[in-house]
Amino acid sequence: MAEIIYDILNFDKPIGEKSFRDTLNELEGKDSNTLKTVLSKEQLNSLVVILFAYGLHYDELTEEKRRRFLNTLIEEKLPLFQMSKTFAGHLLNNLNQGAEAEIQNLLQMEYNIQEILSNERLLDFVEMELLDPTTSFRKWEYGRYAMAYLGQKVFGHIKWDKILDKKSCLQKLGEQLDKQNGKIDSQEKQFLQMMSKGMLVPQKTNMAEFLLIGSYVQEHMMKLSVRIKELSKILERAIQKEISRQKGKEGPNL
Amino acid sequence: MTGSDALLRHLQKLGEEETSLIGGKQYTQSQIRMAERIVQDLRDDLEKASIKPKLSRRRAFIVILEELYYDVPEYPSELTLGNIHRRASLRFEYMNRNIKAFKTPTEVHPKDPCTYYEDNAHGKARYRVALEYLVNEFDRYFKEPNAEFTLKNKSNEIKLC
Repeated sequence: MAEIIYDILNFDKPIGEKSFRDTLNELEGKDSNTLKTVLSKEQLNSLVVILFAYGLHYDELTEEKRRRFLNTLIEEKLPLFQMSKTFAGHLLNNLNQGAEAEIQNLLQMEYNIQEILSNERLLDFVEMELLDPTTSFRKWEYGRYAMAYLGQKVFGHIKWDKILDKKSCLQKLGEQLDKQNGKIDSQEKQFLQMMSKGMLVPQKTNMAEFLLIGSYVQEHMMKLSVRIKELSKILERAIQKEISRQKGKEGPNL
Repeated sequence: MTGSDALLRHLQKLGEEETSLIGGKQYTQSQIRMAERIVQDLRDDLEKASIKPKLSRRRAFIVILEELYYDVPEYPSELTLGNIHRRASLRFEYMNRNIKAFKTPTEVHPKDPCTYYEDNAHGKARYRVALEYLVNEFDRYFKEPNAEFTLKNKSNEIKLC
């Protein structure tokens, strides 16, 4: 059988900036029927993005917490989830012809914007065209996106450029992380090591590493949301220690 | 137990061997499979817990229906989607919601799709999309190898009619 080939996502196109909160405000202003509302393309996209983020991460939470999770997504209370939302925006920019045709059909329909999980056909679309690929053959692309996103937003302030010997830094990083006060579990440690590699030698990061980051972030986004500030501090301290260690090895600066 | 230092070293070695992907426009299923096997092997060492794969509800139902009934011409008359839902949710993780859009197994995965979708071009297109993905990702979701042939046949059939 012929090899199956996938096109890499094209991230060049801008993604819609309208949030679902904006959509709700617009519709409330217009006194629309919230149980049966036709949506503009931008409004529909903003709803799709919420459904996607919910679908990707809801199962990290027990059932009774999911409703609240959906609300926090809509109210944008958890900034880290913005990453999955923007990823969905890019997926929408990369739809194939069939999926694009389905979007056109979906634009003709009316939506319940109070109970957004009750819009069956839209959910079908989100599941089949966006979530299934992101949890399978595009999971590594999600991981690559996560690395870039977190590298910029969370770990960008760390002085990566002060590391003289990148290879030795990556070898020593595990030790340095263990020495930090502040507890991290083995998965978090691995995540920080992988992120560091992505920051220091991005061209050497391979598909398996992206995939591992992709899996970790998909499955632990909620935990990460809570922990990310602490993790960022721990990594910063470890890198700082490593910078000092390398300087010391070089001998005193004259 | 593999520590994360060992894992990092292993992945680093792989990174040196593998030709860089960055900058390319396409990738192949074999590349994905390779990466997945590596990650799976490593994760098995790190954590034993296996997680149910995520799959859209519609495709999850199709997997179960095809595995159970690939070799019979009709679904048993007493078969309900409730039964299928129970089995599917043991195997796959999908968004919890009611199943009112589909009422019978035939609506999800018809035995004779060309006739079933004769006057419903839209339904046929969505069904084709659902099958095509499952054919490409057969090994990821199916446990019954015999269902591959019949699934492929159905997928080809629906493309032509």
